[in-house]
Amino acid sequence: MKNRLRVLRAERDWRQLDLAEQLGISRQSVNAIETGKYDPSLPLAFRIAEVFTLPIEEIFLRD
Amino acid sequence: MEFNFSSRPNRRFLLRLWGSMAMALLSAVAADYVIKNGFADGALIWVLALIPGIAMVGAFYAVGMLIIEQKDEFIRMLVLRQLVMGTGIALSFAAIWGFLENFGLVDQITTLYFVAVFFGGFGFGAVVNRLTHGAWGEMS
Repeated sequence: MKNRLRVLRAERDWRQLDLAEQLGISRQSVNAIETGKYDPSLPLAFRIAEVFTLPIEEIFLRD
Repeated sequence: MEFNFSSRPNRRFLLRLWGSMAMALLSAVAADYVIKNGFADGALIWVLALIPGIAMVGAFYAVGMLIIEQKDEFIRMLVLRQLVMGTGIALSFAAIWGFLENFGLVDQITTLYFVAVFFGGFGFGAVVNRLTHGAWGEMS
């Protein structure tokens, strides 16, 4: 599944660690999601959407 | 390879793992000395021989608790992958060696080796995780 996490994070001038701390996960997890190596669970995807105050479908895109 | 000491599950994992390993090693050395020098007999020999094995169970408990306590779903998935690889490699080794042994092609070995193979496979799984997912798993 594709996502716009890296772009959205860059727009806010956040480091991976900044986003990881807001989500309560490891920096490695943020990196894995950004690079498409890991698709987050639905609860984590909702948390990500809350942090960016965007609907999920504007962050995660179908292949 | 770095270990994230700020993670509570990781710190607990290390404490439990090293604690049980140290207990297993010390009790094995002590039991070996006491039993081989004839300082124990009867039921005491059974007790002394059981302690190192039970201490080793603590290492498996540590791995299990790491999975249960891990709040980071990505890291938990990596640890589970390591567990599957460690188990798969250890059971494969047991199956192959067992048949070779049955046909008299190799000597009988102590089953303790399978524990070592499991942890070797668990560590190998961390390397595979690093290559495929960019993180080590329990070492991240």
